[in-house]
Amino acid sequence: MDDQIVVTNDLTKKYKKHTSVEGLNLRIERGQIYGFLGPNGAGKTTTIRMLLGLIQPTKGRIELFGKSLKENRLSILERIGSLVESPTYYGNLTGRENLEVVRRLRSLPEQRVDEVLSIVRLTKAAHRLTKEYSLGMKQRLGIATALLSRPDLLILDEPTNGLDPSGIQEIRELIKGLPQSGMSVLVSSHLLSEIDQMATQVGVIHNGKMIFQDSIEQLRQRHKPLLKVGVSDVMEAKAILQGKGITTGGEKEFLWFDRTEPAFVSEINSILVQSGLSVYRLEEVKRSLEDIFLELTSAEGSL
Amino acid sequence: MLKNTLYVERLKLKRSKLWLLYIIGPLLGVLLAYTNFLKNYDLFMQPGDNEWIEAWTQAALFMGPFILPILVGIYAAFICREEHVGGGWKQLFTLPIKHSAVFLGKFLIVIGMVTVTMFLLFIFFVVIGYVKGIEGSFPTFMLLGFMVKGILACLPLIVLQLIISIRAKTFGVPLAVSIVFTLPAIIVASTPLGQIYPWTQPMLAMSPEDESPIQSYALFYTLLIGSFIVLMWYGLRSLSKWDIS
Ligand SMILES: Nc1ncnc2c1ncn2[C@@H]1O[C@H](COP(=O)(O)OP(=O)(O)O)[C@@H](O)[C@H]1O
Ligand SMILES: [Mg+2]
Repeated sequence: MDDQIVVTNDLTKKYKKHTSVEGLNLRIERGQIYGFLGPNGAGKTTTIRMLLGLIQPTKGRIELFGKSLKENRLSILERIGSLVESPTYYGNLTGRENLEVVRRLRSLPEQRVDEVLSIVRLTKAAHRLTKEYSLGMKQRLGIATALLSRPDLLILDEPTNGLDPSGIQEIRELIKGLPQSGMSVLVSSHLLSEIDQMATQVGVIHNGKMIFQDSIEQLRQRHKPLLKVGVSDVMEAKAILQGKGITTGGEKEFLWFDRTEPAFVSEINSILVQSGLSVYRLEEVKRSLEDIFLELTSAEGSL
Repeated sequence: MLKNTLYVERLKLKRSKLWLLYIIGPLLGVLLAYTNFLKNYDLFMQPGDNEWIEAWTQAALFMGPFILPILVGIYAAFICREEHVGGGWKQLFTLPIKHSAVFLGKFLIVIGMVTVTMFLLFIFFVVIGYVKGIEGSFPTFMLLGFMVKGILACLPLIVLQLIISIRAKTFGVPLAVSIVFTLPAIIVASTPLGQIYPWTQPMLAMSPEDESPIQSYALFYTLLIGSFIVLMWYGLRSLSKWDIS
């Protein structure tokens, strides 16, 4: 129980008629890097805002570190570092002064400012006004701010927005190393490739609903190749196979099977040919994670 | 906790052009006051009147219902602007700080700004008065008293302008509210509503008793404190229910 860092039950947020988040049951355990994945407008930021107490849920419960957020807001926030949507900055202050703002409000030791500055490699730019910072530098300042208190839970909402490829790589490596110090991380993104390279757990949200939540291995399981069979009469072929106890997913033109071992392939082939159908294609189709993601987020994922 | 909040609020004002407002506001008030006083000297001065006090009446008349309420509006909008522009609210409210501490921090900072304004008003009033050759015994304590009362009478207005500035994302809205409601302040002053109208309260508190429409100061200060408490209660309550996006 102590290891449940984030638990939400039936978390829902409605704006007037529009439901942004619906019935979300989020689970994050200690030491996990939880990739919160979903296309733009899926409800990631809305969910994160609720987890941080910035907005009130319409319905549902939030527990962080085993305690209800509603009753323990301050003691919970004490243990969280966060970056929500765009990074916060006071343009008339330097990078260092911006960190100083949060350091004072959290009563942290002074040397933490230097430490996080060097973690995000802003030491040299620390004395410059943040209104002169590039988007990427502001983003890194935001991450530094989130890390300042060595939080138990780090929440980063699309942290690689505006970063160049090398910056993205840097942040990714940084995040991957965090659980070693006992930190748990919730990181959102609309790019599967990004989550894939750092997350241990994945939650996929689409139109406000969680449509997948499991380990990244489970997601990769869906990565297994499929067998695609082209046959003269798909409907008849289906019926014949049904009679032999072999079920198949099928679209208009092709039959699909989730097994590809040679014995299985030749069995299918011989059944169909012996029944007088002509088999014109037997193909092993490899699917990328992107395909799986698209399949999950498109309404009619057929398999 | 509040110490850190105040330190941070002051840090955020670094490199701002606030000092310009501190100087322009009171200076304008004092210059207008002396110009009017000296131009209509015979009208204002009855036998036995103290020149300083009569001149102050004019200062209170220009500062109280015009310059001071608009300055309060600008100050409140100013310290909320940086939060709106740079996404400061969401950072503040995801730190382990009470909503009330955030609000009180801003409130105290504006009080500080008003205090600086009043201090400069006092300095300008004295210096320019001597330069213009104002005579008579200088009523130090009476004038300092008006400064303190003026600051106190700004409290409801400060809270009200803060509530508006926190809600409105642009600088223009609180400023427009400030100007629109300040304009009738001097008219409202002579009606019973004046004692609870936040844009008029500073003027009433800063004017010498014989120049003011107030009959009972006990009632005035009760109403002042009452309106302050109501506004503060509302401000704190609405902040804790605020959806921050
Ligand atoms: N304050 C708001 N009022 C109305 N609708 C909102 C508000 N905030 C977000 N939404 C809507 O909620 C949905 C989810 O938005 P968001 O959580 O920002 O998505 P994501 O972060 O996944 O891109 C969107 O359709 C968005 O338009
Ligand atoms: Mg978002």
